[in-house]
Amino acid sequence: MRRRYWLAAAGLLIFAAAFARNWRAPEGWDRMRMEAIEARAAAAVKEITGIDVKGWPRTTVARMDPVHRRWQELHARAPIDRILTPLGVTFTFRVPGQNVEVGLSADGTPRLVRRNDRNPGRPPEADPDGIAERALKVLAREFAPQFRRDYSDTGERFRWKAVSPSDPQHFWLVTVRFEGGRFQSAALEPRFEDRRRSGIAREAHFFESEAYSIVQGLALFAGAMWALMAYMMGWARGVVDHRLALAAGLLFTLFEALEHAGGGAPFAWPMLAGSLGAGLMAALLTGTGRLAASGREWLLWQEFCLALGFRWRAKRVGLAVWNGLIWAGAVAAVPVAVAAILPAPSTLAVTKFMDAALSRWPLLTALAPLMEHEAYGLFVFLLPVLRRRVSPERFRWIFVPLAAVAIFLLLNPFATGVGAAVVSAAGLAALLVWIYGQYGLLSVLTAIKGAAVMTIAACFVRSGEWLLFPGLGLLGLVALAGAAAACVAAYGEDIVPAGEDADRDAAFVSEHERLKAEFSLAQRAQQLLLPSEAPSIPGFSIAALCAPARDVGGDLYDYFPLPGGRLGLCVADVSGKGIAAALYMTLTKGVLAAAAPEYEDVAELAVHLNRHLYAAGKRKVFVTAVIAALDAESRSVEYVRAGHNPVLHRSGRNGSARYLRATGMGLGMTNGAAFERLTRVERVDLEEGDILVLYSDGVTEAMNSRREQYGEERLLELVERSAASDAAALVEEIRRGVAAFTANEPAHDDVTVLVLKA
Amino acid sequence: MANSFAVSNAQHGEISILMLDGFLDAHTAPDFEEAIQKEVNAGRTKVVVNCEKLTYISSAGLGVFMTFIEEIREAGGDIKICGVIPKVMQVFEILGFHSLFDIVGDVPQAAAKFAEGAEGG
Repeated sequence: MRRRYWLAAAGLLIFAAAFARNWRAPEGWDRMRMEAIEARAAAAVKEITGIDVKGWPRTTVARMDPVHRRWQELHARAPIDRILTPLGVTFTFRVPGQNVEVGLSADGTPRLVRRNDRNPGRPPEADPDGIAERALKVLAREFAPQFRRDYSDTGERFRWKAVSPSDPQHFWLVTVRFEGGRFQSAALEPRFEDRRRSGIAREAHFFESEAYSIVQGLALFAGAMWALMAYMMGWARGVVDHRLALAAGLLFTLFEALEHAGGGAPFAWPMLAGSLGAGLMAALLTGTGRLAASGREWLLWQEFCLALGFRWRAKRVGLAVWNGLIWAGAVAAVPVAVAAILPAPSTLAVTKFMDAALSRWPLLTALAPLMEHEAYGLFVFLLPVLRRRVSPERFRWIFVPLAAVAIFLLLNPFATGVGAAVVSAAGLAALLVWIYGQYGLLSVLTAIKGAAVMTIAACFVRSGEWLLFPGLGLLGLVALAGAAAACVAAYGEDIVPAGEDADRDAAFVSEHERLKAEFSLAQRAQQLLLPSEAPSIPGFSIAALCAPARDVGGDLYDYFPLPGGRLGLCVADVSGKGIAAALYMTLTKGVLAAAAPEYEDVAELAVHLNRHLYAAGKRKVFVTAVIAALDAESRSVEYVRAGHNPVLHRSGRNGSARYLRATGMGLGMTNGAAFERLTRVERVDLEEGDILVLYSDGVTEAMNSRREQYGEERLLELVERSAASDAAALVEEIRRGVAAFTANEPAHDDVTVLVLKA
Repeated sequence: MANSFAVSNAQHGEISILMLDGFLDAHTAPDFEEAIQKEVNAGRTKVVVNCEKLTYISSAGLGVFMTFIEEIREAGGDIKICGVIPKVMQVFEILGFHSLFDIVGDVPQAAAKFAEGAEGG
């Protein structure tokens, strides 16, 4: 245990050291606040064109030039190499009839001024040469002396060029254009001698390439659809933990909305829709993941479920967060260390941190969203779903590479440098899966978020400018969260997730529940196949019951009309259990119902049934049954016993009972001749008060905790002693008798009873 | 909680003797099924199932006999059952097994039945 803490601390140290050594901010986005940049934009316009755009309505667009960024990472050594930042911010100031575009580097130095107006009457500039010179000074600044004029076109176009001292293939152009003597634009642009020949472009564009984003989009879409379907199916079965899903959805919506608000954009409905969409996605992933998380997974989920249930005082939640935060440093160290070791990018996930730096509330934006969606989906959804489908030995070998691919696609901390991204994705996947297995879901999510926050904070602190304090604030928050988690871990309450004995039964409960839910549909369907009420025959009372052992059973009872106004009664039992037995039960019922009206003789009916079941079951499945025909007029019953339990007959006169064992064999076991030979019809004349009990072996073989069977004797005694006034009462007595005998032992087999009382 | 069941195999000449021990129900039937399948695959179709130690049989267990009987008989063999305790015998009788199978007292009697069959055929 201690060694782990040392390892985690080492990770944190590596992060700090490698970050300090390696981090540069070529974007320069960290230098300035947006308001200051805007003021610089207006000043540049004034200086070059003389127009005062202060107070004009404006729009802003930020754009990253990945090729230039990659070039800076690899080659920039001379001061002039940083004349531009790869991140550009463009302001467009508009008034009716004209607009002025100003592009600036993220550090606030201007790089473009363009004037668009639809006023052909604007007079030509008095001094184009002077404007061009001023523009060069404004755009090239202290580097102006390094620019050489290389082109001039009779006062319409001026161009200066400066070649990079580090890379002769790279140069900058300052171009000033006029049209009909009217100023059009002045621009500072980076250029390559032969851009195509440069591998920089190809690599730099990799993460912005269409293929990358298509694969990314498809992966996200497929995941979302999968989650949606699984959630809906779970919902239909009534097993989704909606509260958990709702809590996750609300948290994501809230943090997503805060992030938007932090961006400084005015409120807009689409934004709200975006936040709700994120929340919905989180809810789907969480609900579906929880469905899939059973067995060992559920153990790893418990702290997460407690946390989403807002039970933050639980010791285990505190411990999980504490462990997650401890390992956050190591997680953050992986990409930084890779960047330090490989001759690769120095820039980590710049675009994400850029949002934070440009935000009105950088601290808030750095914290939100609560969880990177992609990481969340990976561990909350994909992992448990996969775990269900892959054998445990193979799981690690499948999930870790898959996680690496997902991290590479979705969570990649590098803006450029494909090789480094691959290595760091593999390292991160292995480390995160390890943390998950050791400490659980909440820990790994905390570690991911903690790592992201720490990296942003380190960027802020290292930039040393105005972002220093938000950066320190973020680090303080992480420390505070750690301290709070440690306190909860030490002094919190011992809470386990509601309703489940976490330590002992947890591994089985959720699996069992899932199965139960799956069966409940089939059970409902099967119950519908049983007669909803007994037929009413004057002078007789009839009642029946079928209690399936495993939700879906192979037992059956039925009533059906027979020729000559007789009533058919049947109790049948299909060999085996579960779905297969239930299917045969359905078949039996169907054949019986279809054939019954055509057979005067119940033996012939049984032979017919045997032929069908023998053909269908190929002997592997057989059915035992008692088929009886009640003739109400003659007050008699004829029955065949096709391999089924004997019929219990109680005399109404003296109350004594006996078993009627007509010879016969199971249906579907053998061909017609042998079956016919053995099957005998027996006739019972019923006197007033006589009772016939048809039942399945689930009654006589019901077992108590000492492995004793209920048995024919106990059933016989119960029926003899019974004072039941009608069939329904006796059915209930038998059910209670069996239940009392087995006490709390689960039933092995379906219990079916049909009682006829004369 | 799981009910114990074991099936062991012995060879007497060309007769395979499967000894069932314990509780044959839906959970344990696959073990029995596998054991018979092995004999069938190996071409040993003269099978004696010794039920002396079989304390319980459910319909799924009975189903295993039914699964193989036809195939084994077509191959010229048979399944003989011996040593059935009364409680299990009752289940066999209820189902009509005695008209489908030779059910005898012990292994030598079962072997004798095979010998009879060979002479007769």
